[in-house]
Parts: sequence; structure tokens; C-alpha cells
Amino acid sequence: MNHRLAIAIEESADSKEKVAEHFGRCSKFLVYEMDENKDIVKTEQYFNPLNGHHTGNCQLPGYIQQFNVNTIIAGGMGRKAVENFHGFNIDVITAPGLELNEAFELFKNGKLAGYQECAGHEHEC
Amino acid sequence: MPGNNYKQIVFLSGKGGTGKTTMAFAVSSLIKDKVLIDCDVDAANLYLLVDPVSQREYQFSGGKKAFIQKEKCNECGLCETLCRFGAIKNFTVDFLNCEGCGFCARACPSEAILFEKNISGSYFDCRLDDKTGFYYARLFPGEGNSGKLVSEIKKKAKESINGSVKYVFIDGPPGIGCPVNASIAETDFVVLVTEPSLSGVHDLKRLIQLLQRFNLKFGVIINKHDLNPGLTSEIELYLQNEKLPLLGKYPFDKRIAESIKKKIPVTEINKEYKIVSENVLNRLENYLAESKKQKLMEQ
Amino acid sequence: MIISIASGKGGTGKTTVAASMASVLNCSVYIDCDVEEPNGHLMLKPEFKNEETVYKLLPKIDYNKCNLCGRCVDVCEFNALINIKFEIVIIEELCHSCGACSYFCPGKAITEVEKEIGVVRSGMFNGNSFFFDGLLRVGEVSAVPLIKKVKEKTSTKNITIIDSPPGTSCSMVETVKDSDYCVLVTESSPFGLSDLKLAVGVLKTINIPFGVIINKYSENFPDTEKYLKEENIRLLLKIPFDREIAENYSKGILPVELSEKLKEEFLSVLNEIRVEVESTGINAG
Repeated sequence: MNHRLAIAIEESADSKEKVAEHFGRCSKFLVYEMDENKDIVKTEQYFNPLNGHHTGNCQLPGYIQQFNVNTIIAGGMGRKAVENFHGFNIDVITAPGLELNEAFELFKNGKLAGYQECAGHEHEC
Repeated sequence: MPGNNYKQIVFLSGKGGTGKTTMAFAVSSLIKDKVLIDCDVDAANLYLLVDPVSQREYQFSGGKKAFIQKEKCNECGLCETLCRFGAIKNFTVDFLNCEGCGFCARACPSEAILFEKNISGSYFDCRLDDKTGFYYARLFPGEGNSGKLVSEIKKKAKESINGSVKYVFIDGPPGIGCPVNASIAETDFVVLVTEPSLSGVHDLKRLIQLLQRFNLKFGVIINKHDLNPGLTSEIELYLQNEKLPLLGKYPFDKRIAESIKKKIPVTEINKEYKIVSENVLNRLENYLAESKKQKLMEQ
Repeated sequence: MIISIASGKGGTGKTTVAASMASVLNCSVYIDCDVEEPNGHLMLKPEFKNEETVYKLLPKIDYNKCNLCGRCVDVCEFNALINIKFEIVIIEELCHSCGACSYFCPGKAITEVEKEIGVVRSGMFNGNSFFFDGLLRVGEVSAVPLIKKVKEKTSTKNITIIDSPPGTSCSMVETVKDSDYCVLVTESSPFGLSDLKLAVGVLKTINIPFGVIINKYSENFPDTEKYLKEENIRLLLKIPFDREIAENYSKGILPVELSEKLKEEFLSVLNEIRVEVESTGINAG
């Protein structure tokens, strides 16, 4: 089965796509489907239904689970959201400050793994 | 509009590559008390010339998108039948094809379709070295509703205009569609930048057709005029016949590319460019004064 | 095989490249999807044979059946319908022809009528090659419905070259999607490079194989080649900046008409594209 990877994206001022600092506030989700050689065979795009709202982050994992992904990459995520993803059998990777291309290359080469839960700032979960 | 002492000038070209952004930069560089807005939201370029410092970024939503929630979907297929944009196949909405009309979401008997605002771009409130207000936007790839984004960025720019601003210069989008309409709303004058080529002339005429519907004041700059003196004369004759002002003619100069790289206004690398730009500004100011007089007389 | 030609920035030479490709091929199909400002006909000078009017659907309200309940206004996402208490006003420019208002009207008071948005023109050039373009009615705000119509002329037998509008918005995406390969045309300048990156972003999102042609090439601007190398993007061709080319272009003369060498280079690029498309298993048509 092909590996499917979701990445929470935000666009930066110089038009580069970056991994969103906090996944609840990203502008979109990109999904890459990769074959055995880790080449991208399909790209999908999904909007973030929460945009503009600051509550309801907890429902996002349920939304993202419908993309049938194995892994999600975001800059940061609260504890409850991580738990929800794990409940759906989705691996969580936090990679703050990376550009989209960088993050994908690192992931491809197995250099991107693990997560750090962010505490403190305005989470509903 | 309260505090409206400024004049709004929009630069358009119809065809890309005529030098619209370069000319907008050149002419506006001669004025101190101004605000610059890049309304080419599809492919903003002006910010590359002016080195703006972003103060604030705003998110823009041009519309909504639909998403079919698999757990609630009972695969009746009604959505696919109703969608006129070919956006639904196999009970999945294709993000790029989705027009954001909400038809499927409203019609779905299982209420399985999520239909929410989509962030389709962002715009930036910036300052230049000399504190000039500069605004530009970025429509995310594949998105539509650029006209809406143009209107929003203009609105934001005008919110913070103080009494000392004399001009709002707008670098407009290409074409003749919705974003062009949005950029010329409330404008005092449109500067059309063309070049003496068959495509330049063709596109200029179509753009003029559009502008004439709006009863707007506009004038023409011919850029790279020496590339085809024959066509340049034809354009000048056409403008005379249509009673449209020729604001100025710039010669072709290979060094333009260099000046763009170094972010220097072309007025500083070529003396003739400085003179032509000053003339353009003078003629512009004359036309604006004339039309102000006309308006007063009509009242 | 369908090849689309696009660019982030306008004026880089997209139409010149598209028209050049179509003209060096025998029995090709050229489709100009820059319906706001089509220029291909100025370069290829086709003999026009036919013009077909294209329509979009607009709602029409039968006031014998309408009770001004306003449901149509509620379901319109584009604010194209306004209820002013004794009438429902339709703002034509805002209508996206989705059909929701007609469907949801409880009194079945709304039907749809046609409104002209432009024309699709057909012709022949170079003896046996086919030319199609779309001309959007001046004042019509949305190009996408007309672009969809012009694209219907795509051939499954001959190589089709599709000229795209500039930019990276929905018009460009509508044009290039479903093509087997996209050629991005850029120029040696900071504007060209900045817009090229945007266009590359789009093509990657819609998964279309692509390569780049640098037109008006100058060695004084190495940044483009550097970027292409870093991103592992195929550079198909460099066309050096040449004042003579610019002057001839202004008269509607394609550079391939004057240079046998350039003609050969375009044929070579087309072959390279064909090989890449066929090797990835996509039907070359």
C-alpha cells in the first residue's frame, strides 16, 4: 500500500510554502501519495475548514483522517490533537520552521521523525 | 470618501511584458507623498523593485470549498449529478475544480458535505525605506476570485491613507477580466502601457474597448517605441483619431534589465527616461486638473 | 500528445514559443486559451473558417410564480441575486451558472437562459494544421467557461499545442490541466524568475510533468539556471535575447521563420518531450 503523507501548509511572504507553525491555523493540507521508491505519484489538496476560527481544533484530526493518510507533518500541535491522531493510527511529526521541499526531502530520507507537543498557547485541546 | 485628497492612477497594459510595472515604478518614483499598490495578485512583481518591509499579513478568503465526509456519505451520487464543474468523482471533491457554489452541500440528503471558507491568498501591508505605504498580495496557485482580492487590498490600503498622500499608484493586472475591473474602480486616471508590436496593439485596442464602457480618463505610454517605428506611428495616429492622449514614448534600453536587478528606477539609469517620466507626470497632472475643472463646471 | 505552454509572468514569449512549436510540426493543432487577449492568430495568420458563439447560463425569474421568498438569494454563494422587496435583481457578472437558485426555488419560478460570453474561432494554417482560439466578450469577467469550450477542440490524433493565459490562477490551471506536458517559458530577469517559481508550484500541485524554456536569455542573469539546477528541473532550451527577434516579433514574424537553427532546436525539444511523456507511460496520442 502506498504511503500517504499529509502536510499542514502555510504560505510565507516570499511565496514559499512552509510547514505551518501550528496545524490548526494552516491555510491548506497537502497530501502526497508515495510509491515504494518514495516518489510522489499523486498530490491532493484540502482546505482547512477551521480557517478564521480558533476553536474546534479537536475536530481536525477527524477531518484529516478522511484523507486516508498514514502520517501528518505540522510545525506544532497540542497534546489532545496528537492523541486523536494516534487514535486514528496516524503518525505525528512536528517540524517547525521548515519549507515544504525541505520537509519532504528529510522525510523521504528518514531524517524526519518524532514530535514535540506544544504546551501553553491558546489551544482548545 | 472622507479625507480624499489623493488621485488614484492605475497602470494597465492588456498584454504582459510591455513594461507596465517598470513604468509604474519609474513614474511613481518622482512623487514623494504616495501609496503604492500592486494589484497584479496573480504574479506580483512590484515588491521585487521596492524592497518592502512587511508590517502585517492578512489572510484572504475568496470563497468556500466542499468536502465530502465519508462517514456520513451514503453514496447516492446526487452531488456528482448536480455539480456543473466536474469537481465530484467517486464521492470525492476535487479541490481545484470546486467552484465553491455550495450546491452539492445544500442538496446532499445525508448532510455529508462540509462547506467552509478556504484561505485562497494573503496580502501584505508594508512600508518602504521612506515610510511610503506599499501593499501587495499573493493569490495562491490555482485559485480564482482575484477580483475580490484586488478589491480587498485596495480597501486595506485606503484605510490607512493620511491627508498628506497625493497619489495612489496602482500596478494593475494583465488582461481585461474581473481583476482589471476591480483595479480601476474609483480611479481618476488609467495609464495604458503598450509596445509597438502586433500583439501589443491588438491587446491595447481590446483594453480601450473595456475602458470606454466605464467612461474613464486614460492615456497611453508607448514603451520600446524604436523597436518598430512604423507601428509606433500607427499607434500615434490611432490615438489622435480616437482623441486619446499620448503621455510619452520610451526607447528600448537593454540596461532596463540591469536596473531592475539592482532595484533602481529606470529614471536614474537613462536620462531620457527621466525626462519622459517627468513629462508623463506633467501631462497626467494637466489632465487631472482639466477634468477637475470640467466637473466643477458641470455642477 | 497534448503540450501546454504557460508562464507565470506575461510577456516572456509564451505565444512565440507555442506558435513556433505548432508551426514547425506537420499537421498540428494549435489552441489559444488566452481568451482575454489571444495573440496566436497574429503569429500563425490562420485562414479562419468558422466562428461559434459560446454561452453561459443565467437565471431568469418568472414573476407569475415568484413570491419573493428569497430562497434563491440564500443559496447563491456569489451574491449574484439581490432581493429588493418587489423584485429579485440578477447581477450577471457575478453569476457562476451553478444552477443552485433554479434547483432550490420552491415555486419553480427560475429557468435558465443563455448569455453570450464569447466565441470560439476555427481555422487552418500552414496548409494542414488546425487553429482554434477563444475570444472573450469585452466586459465578460470570467474566462474559465470559455477556456473549457475552446479546449474541447483538443485532438487525440495530432499533437496539440495549447497556449495558456499568463499567471497562475484558475484560468491557467483550467488550461494546463489534463495536458501531458507543460512547457514553462521564462525570461532572464528577476520578475521572470519570481513568476516561474509560482508556476512551478502550480504544476507540482496538479502533477503535470514540465520543463522550462528561457526566452530573451542573457548570461547576465544566471539566477534562473541556478534555480533550475537546484530544483532538478529540465531546461529545454535557451533562446538568447536578440533585438532582431524582437523587431520581427513586433511584425508578427516568428523567429523560426528566420532561423533554420532555431527550427531544428524546437523540433529537438518536441522530440525530447515526446520521449519523456512516452516513457512515463502516458498515452502519447
